[in-house]
Amino acid sequence: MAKTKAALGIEVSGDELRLALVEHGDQGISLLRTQVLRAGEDLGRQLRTFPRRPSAVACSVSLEHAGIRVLSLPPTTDENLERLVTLEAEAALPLASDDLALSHHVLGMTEQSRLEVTVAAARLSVVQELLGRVSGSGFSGSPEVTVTSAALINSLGQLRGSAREPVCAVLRVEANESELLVLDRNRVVLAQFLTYGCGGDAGAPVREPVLMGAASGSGGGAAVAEPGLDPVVAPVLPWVAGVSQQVRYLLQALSYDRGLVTERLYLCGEGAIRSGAQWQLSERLDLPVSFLSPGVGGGSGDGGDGAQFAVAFGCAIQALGEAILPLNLTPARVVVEREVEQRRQTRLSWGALIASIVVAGSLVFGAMLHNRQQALADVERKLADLGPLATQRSLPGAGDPKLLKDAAAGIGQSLAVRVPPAEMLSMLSQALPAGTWLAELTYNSETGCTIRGYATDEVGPQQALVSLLQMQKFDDVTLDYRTQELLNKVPVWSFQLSCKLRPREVARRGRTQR
Amino acid sequence: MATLGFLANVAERDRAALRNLAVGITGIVLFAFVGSPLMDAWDKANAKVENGQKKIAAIQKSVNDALEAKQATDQLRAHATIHETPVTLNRQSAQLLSLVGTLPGYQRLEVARLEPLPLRDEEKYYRSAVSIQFSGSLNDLQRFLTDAGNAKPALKVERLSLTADPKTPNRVSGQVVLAGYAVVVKKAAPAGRRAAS
Repeated sequence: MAKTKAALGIEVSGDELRLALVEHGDQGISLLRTQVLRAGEDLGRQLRTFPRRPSAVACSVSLEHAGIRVLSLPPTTDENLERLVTLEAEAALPLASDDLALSHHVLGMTEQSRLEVTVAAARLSVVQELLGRVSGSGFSGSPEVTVTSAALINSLGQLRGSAREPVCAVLRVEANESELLVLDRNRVVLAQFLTYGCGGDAGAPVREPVLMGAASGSGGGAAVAEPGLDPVVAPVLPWVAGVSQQVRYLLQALSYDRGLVTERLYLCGEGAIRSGAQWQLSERLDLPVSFLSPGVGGGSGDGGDGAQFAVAFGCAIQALGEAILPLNLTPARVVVEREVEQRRQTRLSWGALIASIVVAGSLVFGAMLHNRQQALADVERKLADLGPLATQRSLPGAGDPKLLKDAAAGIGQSLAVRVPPAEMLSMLSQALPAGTWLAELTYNSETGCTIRGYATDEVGPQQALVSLLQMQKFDDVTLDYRTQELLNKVPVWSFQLSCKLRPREVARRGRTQR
Repeated sequence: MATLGFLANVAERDRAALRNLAVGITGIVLFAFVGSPLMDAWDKANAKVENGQKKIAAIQKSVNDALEAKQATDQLRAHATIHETPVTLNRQSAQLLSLVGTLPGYQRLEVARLEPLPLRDEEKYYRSAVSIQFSGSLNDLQRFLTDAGNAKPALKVERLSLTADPKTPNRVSGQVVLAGYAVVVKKAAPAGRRAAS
């Protein structure tokens, strides 16, 4: 994706500023926004409302304070050319070179091996005043200053390109002044300042611009509505007569002098947005008249709605670096001064930034140190509160809790008996049936018990066995033997029962398997 | 300002070099006399805080250990005799005999012989035992065994052997081995423990 660049063109017309923001992107050059700033409105604030921030700025000086001319010079080197141009300008203008802001553009060599150079000059004080008015609005670079005529040529070249007539004229009509520019291709044949403007027509109908940000209605002329005329016909504009008369004289003089016939007149400026100005001028001059109006997307506005921004548009084209006649009147000394000032401001900004970082870092570090000291004070206070405990490793009379817990667990495990002896005696008294009695008993808390006894009945031992099994206290109960004997000459059945307890681990495993 | 007047005659490049030198020296001096002491102060404060926090943690641990030890001792007291030191462990057998003698069921039996068995070291605790040769009714024996099971500190009947009297079937005689437990809170060196056992 190509990088786009935005530039701002500024035309100073009386107290107001006309702005045109132009972008050069993939689609070519396009007009993003136009706006009129009245006196007292802040340019920097308005710029912040723009869709893009311009990277370059150019503004224009009216022909009232400047001039533009094509000089024919002998062939010379680039170094000498500037000197020659200065000498020629001093000869042509009643001002010293120190009071002049000069700029030139080489058009090329003629058939007579003369170098044709377009030279623009303006009063240095005017240029500096203009720069002072435009500067301080947040622009990063040094604004360029050009002549309105050069801006119009650039605007015409951008809007009409090769489609325009070889010999044509551009008429810029403002409230208090006008400017006629006659071009033979890109060569300036005539650039004439006219003191006649459209400002005398107070209240004259003004077409509201469609594309523009704020159309100017100031200085509108008076409507000369003729009663009885058809309402669809626009009222006659009185300024048209005066302007057209002067334009006609100038064009005729040019025709007599050089034999150049103007094929078309392009109309722009505040006068162009007056209703009926186009056809009235065309009628009086007997020339086809078109609007020089930049439209959105870089096309020309056929309705002339943006014609008042033609100069601003041309300035923006020059700021973009796409001008066919780039003339920059900003003195190199001023550019250097501004750059030095900018460098100084940059250094100051960096210094301030570094200083603020250092101060902020110091404050943060100081705060951290203070917090640490606070934490230390807290710790020392806690230690002081704990008092004698702080010097002891453990409390008096306290043993190792782990050892005590282990001992408790070991004793608990040892005390856990599955069949206590008292319970076993109770079981036996229940399990032995009538006619069966105990003779001997051997009990071990871990392994179980062995019971020897006598029974008067043969089934007595088996009944005792079954009863013990049903109680499910022992893991295994077996009848080891049962024999008949004589006890005190009485026949009895002696028997032995083994009630076994498996070791804990084996018993637990057996229960789990079951 | 007069001392800096010579700078007016110095070339711009040299002036820039002098400026950079001054900035560098200022930085070094600032680091040496401001930065470094501050870092030292920071390190010292950190070390003190960590040391203090370790002390507090150690105290908390010792208090917790003591509480746990007290709880464990209280639990143990129901099952075993607690001895503060191994020295008092010599009295364990005598205490066991005394305990057995105070059991209510003991008085109902006719005790022919009552003798203590050697103290055994079970690593985590000590076990003392007493052997009793007795005679009496089955009911008295059962009552004695029940009392022994409910005694505090706990007693465990490890072995029991009895023989019924051929002439009086309800009367029995035999031997019972009762075991009691002891725990030493502060154990001595292994040599001391061996001597006690």
